[in-house]
Amino acid sequence: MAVAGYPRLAGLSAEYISEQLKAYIDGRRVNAIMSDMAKPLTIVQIQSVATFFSTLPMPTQAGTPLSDATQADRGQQLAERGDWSAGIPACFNCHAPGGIGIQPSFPPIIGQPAAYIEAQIRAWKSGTRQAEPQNLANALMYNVALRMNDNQIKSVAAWLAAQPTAPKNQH
Amino acid sequence: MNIASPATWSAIFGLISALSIAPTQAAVETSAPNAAANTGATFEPPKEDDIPNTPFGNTIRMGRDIMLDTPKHAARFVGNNLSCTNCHLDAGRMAGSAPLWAAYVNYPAYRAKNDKINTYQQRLQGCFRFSMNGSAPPLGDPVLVALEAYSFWLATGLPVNKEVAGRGYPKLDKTTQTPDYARGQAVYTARCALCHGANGAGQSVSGRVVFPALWGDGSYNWGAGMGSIDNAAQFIHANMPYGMSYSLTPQDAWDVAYFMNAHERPQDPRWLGSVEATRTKFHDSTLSLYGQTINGKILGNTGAPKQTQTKDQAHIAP
Ligand code: HEC
Ligand code: HEC
Ligand code: HEC
Repeated sequence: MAVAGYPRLAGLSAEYISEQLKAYIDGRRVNAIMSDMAKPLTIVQIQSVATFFSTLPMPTQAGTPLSDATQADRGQQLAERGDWSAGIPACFNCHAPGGIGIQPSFPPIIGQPAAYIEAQIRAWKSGTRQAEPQNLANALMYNVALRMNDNQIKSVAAWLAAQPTAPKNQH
Repeated sequence: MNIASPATWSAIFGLISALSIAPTQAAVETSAPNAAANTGATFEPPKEDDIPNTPFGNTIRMGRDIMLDTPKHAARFVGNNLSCTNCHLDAGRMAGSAPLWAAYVNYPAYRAKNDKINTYQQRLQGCFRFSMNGSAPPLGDPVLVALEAYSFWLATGLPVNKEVAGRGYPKLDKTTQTPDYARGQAVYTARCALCHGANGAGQSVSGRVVFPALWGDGSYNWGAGMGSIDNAAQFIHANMPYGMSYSLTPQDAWDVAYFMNAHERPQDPRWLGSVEATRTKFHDSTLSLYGQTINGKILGNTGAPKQTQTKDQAHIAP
């Protein structure tokens, strides 16, 4: 079971995890704990850590309905349809239906705690998470994050975190 | 180092709430928010929540659903893996992405493509035949009625028979350099392949399309509007990479449109028995690569159109 603010790594792609660890080392992604943890790692260590986590099965979790129905609706709307007037495509149009991700570049966004999702979006907005300027994957999510307001960040994070993982059928 | 303890690692990998210093922001590219941004469009279609809860409203909703997942909701008429919304973004609402509201108020209209006056339903038939590589639903079929009802409702308040800002894809001036395959390929590799795949076939997860096919069997056929390099360049400039409208230079957009349309795709259903004859009648333009030789192969030289394999042939009686 995920702890608030700490992401699950199981089921993320090895490429994605090692790219994130390298970002901590170069200072493109900043976190008090992770930056210090990542810096002493060698390339080989990064690869073995990344491979290890990528082979773990994604944990399953039962859904928990949100108590705030308006927030749930707003979150679901963003995830499934986006808010195109603000330039936000549906999260699921990039992270796959159900948010299960597409290997290797589009990480899953279900099965993560709301605090982690929120923190990532805010980190892009504030510049503590960034990639090399020519990195298309990062530019894509950076642009989405820039366009999200506080309310949208909170609603979509809460709704995503409340969804069951390993959904059997979307419809 | 001990990597055998996932609990420890996942405990330390995040904790983003304890943020430290923000590094200086390197230049990550930004872009216009959406295709509408450069069109001067002021019209806003009604909000989806306002679709009435009436029998008419149900038909409108069905039209919306067909736009969003065409293979599911109009299976009988679809022969590829695309949905209307892939090219008409936000379920046909987006200005600069050939929105349905701007189209609706401009039919019936003369179309050079078939040298006839086309009603709106006839226009929609063409989308199924070419863009969806399927078969045209008969006039009055519930699928066409639902799409018409949805378009009508989106156009609420717009005057008819009047050009409206945001229609079609925004015009893109010709660039000084003629579009080029090699330059287009470089753009494709850098800006498109991440999603649409190195082979242009798109990507699916658990049988559901996430990134649609740009060429090959799963894409639009040679008769489709997107097969014309100008339409493709305009669409791409305004809408791609996804979520990064107008971030390509016009030259990049022309080049990558050329590259995309320099690949094989399903035969033109208007096939006249040979590539030459079909090109002369329907593709006699520098904007179509049908019948041209690219990398030593004549595009479109794949014989008669395959019998359309629509999505439901396995399970729905004719
Ligand atoms: C245009 C495509 C696109 C859209 C739309 C999109 N994302 Fe992303 N997202 C990405 C990519 C690519 C990454 C990986 C970024 C990287 O590698 O730096 C990502 C990463 C993330 C992450 C970080 C995951 C992790 O494990 O660190 C979160 C959280 C996220 N997205 C949430 C969202 C939410 C919520 C939405 C909808 C509001 C959304 N995304 C819409 C492309 C997209
Ligand atoms: C592969 C991309 C693609 C797909 C898929 C697609 N279209 Fe289109 N559509 C286009 C293009 C390109 C044009 C403009 C064609 C032209 O100018 O010749 C167009 C034009 C139209 C128009 C006329 C617009 C106007 O302003 O006159 C309508 C209406 C339309 N499409 C509806 C649909 C519907 C409904 C579907 C799904 C059944 C669909 N399209 C699927 C690319 C697509
Ligand atoms: C972040 C992923 C992503 C990137 C990068 C991207 N696309 Fe797309 N593309 C999409 C999605 C998603 C759609 C469908 C849009 C929808 O349904 O909302 C699409 C639709 C299209 C379509 C119309 C549908 C079809 O299959 O014909 C074309 C053409 C296209 N993209 C071309 C390009 C080109 C050229 C590039 C590079 C300049 C590009 N795309 C970059 C995600 C992407």
